[in-house]
Amino acid sequence: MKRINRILPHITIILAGMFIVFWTLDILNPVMNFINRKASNKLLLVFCILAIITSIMNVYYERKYDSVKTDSNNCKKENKSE
Amino acid sequence: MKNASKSRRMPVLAMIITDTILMAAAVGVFMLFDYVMPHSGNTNGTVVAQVDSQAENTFELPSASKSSDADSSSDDSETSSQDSSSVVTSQPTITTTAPQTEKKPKRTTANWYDNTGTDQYEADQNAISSITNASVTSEQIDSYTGDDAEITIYKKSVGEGSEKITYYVADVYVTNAGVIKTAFANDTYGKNIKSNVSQMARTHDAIWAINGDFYGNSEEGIVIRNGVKYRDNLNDADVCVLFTDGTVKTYSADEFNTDTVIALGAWQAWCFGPQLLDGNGNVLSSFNTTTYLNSSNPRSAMGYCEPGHYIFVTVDGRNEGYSKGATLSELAAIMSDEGCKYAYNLDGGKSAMMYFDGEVINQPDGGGRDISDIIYIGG
Repeated sequence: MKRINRILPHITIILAGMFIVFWTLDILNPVMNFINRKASNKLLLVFCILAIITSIMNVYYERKYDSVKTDSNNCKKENKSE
Repeated sequence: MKNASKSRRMPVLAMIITDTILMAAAVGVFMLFDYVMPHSGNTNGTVVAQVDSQAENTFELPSASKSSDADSSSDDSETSSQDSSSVVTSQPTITTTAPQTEKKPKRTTANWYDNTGTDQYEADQNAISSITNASVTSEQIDSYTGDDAEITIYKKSVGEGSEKITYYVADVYVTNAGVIKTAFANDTYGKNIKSNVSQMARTHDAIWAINGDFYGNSEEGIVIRNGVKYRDNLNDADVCVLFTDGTVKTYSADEFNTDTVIALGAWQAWCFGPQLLDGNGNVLSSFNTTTYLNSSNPRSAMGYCEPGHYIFVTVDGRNEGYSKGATLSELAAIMSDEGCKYAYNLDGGKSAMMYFDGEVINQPDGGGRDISDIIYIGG
């Protein structure tokens, strides 16, 4: 799980980079139809799914980090008051 | 423990480099799979039109009309003319036409990446007038007279120095639209199936051939070849249709309707473009293209004068001093000058090749490249 967590953002970055390349090429030569091909559409779907998973993971870990931080702050406060 | 896990982490710079390399590799694999590896279309197509050469829509060749005039006065010519059913002649004649006016075309100021008004790319009036007002040096380099077609090949040039454009014109007369045929690479419809123009032409015993629209580079766009429909999913590109009655019409993507053109008898349909003339021989005020694609390049185009009379042009380019290539405005002006009513841009760049009598006659950029399809006469 931890390994997947590490790899997923990189795959998302790679796919995002690919689509930036396709978008640039498509502007130069729309006849080549880089973005609207069947294979590109499938890649786009994969990219969207990965982006959602990565974002959910990011939100989850951020919330977890926040709650841990809040808990530790509370603990510190309690220790100080004691 | 914390230090140990930190030391196992890749440095940020190495991570960025690795991601970039992986991204380049992924793009490369995608391109290899989608643009290089051949995929057979697995379809034999649907027959949508047939040309009957005996039908009323048969046109007279110029030599036939001349000889019919001459026949009444002399029967001796029959004995002197040996088997003249198929004659290739080489008669170099150089002519220069039209007065020279020193007008340097103004280039568009738009940046190469600026696609403002992609669907309405304005024609460059200075480039058009620089072609129409300039002197054209014309040399007839070859000709062919057959039973069903007459082809005259001219090598023409316009402009001087770095602005010089050299192009080859095939002035084609045919007895019926069925004489203008098309062929796929390896005789197979599909994506990325490629072969060179000479090989395809020889396979089909063609006397003359020109590159087509490179349909195999895309998954979209109408493909009707020799009366067989292979594909009809449309894209934004303009379409050119040769009908069985010998007429040609070009359409914008909005105007085009597959069922309508099939009902009218579509013999060939190409999907590349853009269309260049308005149907009356005037250069269109705008082209369906981008700034990048509108730059000076080697180009091929087909033009329509009247049923049975067609003009095919291949412009050489990327060779300063010999030929810089043509913008779409310049190509449109050339086609208009040749007397075409409709004209349509075919695949260009390294694909721009014209074949006649066993060899490629123009000078393709980088020696040319393998393509998906040709338009040819003969066989």
